Amino acid sequence: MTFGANTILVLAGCTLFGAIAGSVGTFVLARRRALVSDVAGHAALLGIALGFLAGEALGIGGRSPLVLLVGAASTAFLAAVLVPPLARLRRVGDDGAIATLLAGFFGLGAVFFSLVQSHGSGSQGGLSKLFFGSAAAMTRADLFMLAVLSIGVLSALLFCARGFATVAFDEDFARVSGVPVRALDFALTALLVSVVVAGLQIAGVVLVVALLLTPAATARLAPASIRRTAVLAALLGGTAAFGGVLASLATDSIPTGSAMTLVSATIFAAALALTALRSRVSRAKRATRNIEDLRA
Amino acid sequence: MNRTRDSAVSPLVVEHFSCGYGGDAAVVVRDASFTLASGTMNAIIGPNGGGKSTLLKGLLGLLPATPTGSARFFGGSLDAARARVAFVPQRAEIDWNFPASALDVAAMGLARKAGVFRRLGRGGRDAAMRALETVALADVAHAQIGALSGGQQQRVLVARALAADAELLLLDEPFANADSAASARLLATLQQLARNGRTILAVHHDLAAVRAAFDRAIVIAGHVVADGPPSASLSGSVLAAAYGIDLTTAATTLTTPTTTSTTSTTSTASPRSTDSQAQAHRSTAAQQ
Repeated sequence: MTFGANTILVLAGCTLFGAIAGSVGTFVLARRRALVSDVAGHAALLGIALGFLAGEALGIGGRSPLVLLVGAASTAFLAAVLVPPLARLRRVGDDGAIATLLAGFFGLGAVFFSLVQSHGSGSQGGLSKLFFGSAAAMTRADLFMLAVLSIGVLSALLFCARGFATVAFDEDFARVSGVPVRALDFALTALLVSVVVAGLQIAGVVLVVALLLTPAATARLAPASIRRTAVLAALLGGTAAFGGVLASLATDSIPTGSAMTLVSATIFAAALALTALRSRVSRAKRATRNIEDLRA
Repeated sequence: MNRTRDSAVSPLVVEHFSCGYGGDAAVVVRDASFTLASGTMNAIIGPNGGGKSTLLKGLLGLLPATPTGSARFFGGSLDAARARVAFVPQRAEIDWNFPASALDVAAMGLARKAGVFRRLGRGGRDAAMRALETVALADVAHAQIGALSGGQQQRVLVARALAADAELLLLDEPFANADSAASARLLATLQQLARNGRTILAVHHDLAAVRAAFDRAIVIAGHVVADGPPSASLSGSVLAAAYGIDLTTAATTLTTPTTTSTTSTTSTASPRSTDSQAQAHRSTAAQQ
């Protein structure tokens, strides 16, 4: 395992991404929008394909990162904002809305992607990179963009944390009290989409959700305020990403995105086991105390 | 609480109000009219499916379908009165595993007043703490909400409404699944709030409790069946009509009056004399 400049760059980028994904994921999970990020991730494929075709048609080249990013963000955002109104329809519900939109956008994305691949200058074998990411290909420019995104996301979270928590805990109370629920939901969706799109290169459309939600789910196992939960999720996300990159380098065969996801899932499993053990111990202690009380 | 309360303006005037979920379910509550007097305890009572919670949510604009008729809060629209109105949902509608302490939840009441996008200052924390003291939860302020008892959780939700300094509290089944001790405690809290000039409108299912502690009972079974002091509006014949079965046996054990209800749907029932209300206001002022 060698630590060249590129390795350090990838380590820094992935750790940073893991941290912001974990903190945003905390609020997404609290608002019960976990699977909306899955919808956004899968819908991004369509945007990438459309971006590529548009870039080619406009003569600026289909591989221009800006065109691809804008395309991915547009369709991811569109799909994400369609979930709540569709879910509110009677007889559709959350599950139905999420399943339909995820499959619909992904199917459409696959159709357009096959068009891209049949295109003269279309990417060869690019599909697997999009599905599982290619963190090792990270450039200096990518790291810079990630850093800018992190600053933006963290300021937005600091600014909106109280509002996000109020709405997530009880939407009805918030609406009656005049809290701007729609604006806050819009902001949360925008954050979610930014993180998902930024994570496409690192983890791909399928696994990016794991980086967003697994650290947040792990952090929630410890009782705390939502701010502390978000900080803990950021630490866990950063650690998992860092560990994942190292594991990927060490084995040389596991893709970085998959390794990060696996490390994150392992931390979750360990935390879950620890929580179960602790509650068992405290229950046993209580039982012993009760028996002693009875004897006394 | 240092706002001068204008008791001449009713906290809530409802006229020919109909609401429902839209679609096939259509209208659940039809043509409801009633007026609340400030500083009173009001119960919405009626059979399951009669539309009690639907009416409450409809008044607060929480239903998907737009209601018809009018609901005026403190003489104006709900939008103009949001700072003075708070909703206390059913405890079962809340995810109690949410990462928050009792104090965190109480502080959510300040979300609008203190600015959603600003940090909660010392003043905000103090206001949230005072709200918890009012509902006797100061000692568990820093406990995780999931670790509280059912009764305590219900009172945390009331504390949140108090932190918002709401003058009209609309509570959806606050006594559901509460044991008798928890019910008595919550009831005492609500009565104290009413004495201090706040107005309570609670969906309730327990006839005996409403008779004993509320100034006013609005009986709902798809429409307003009866409305007035519980002694009148919860008479045997009214209940028989509302519930579709004869509850006279149950009703007599709960000391039913012999008078039949005067189903006045628009009158302002004012169980407290103006004198005692003025006294209540003075005592509120004295507490500041």
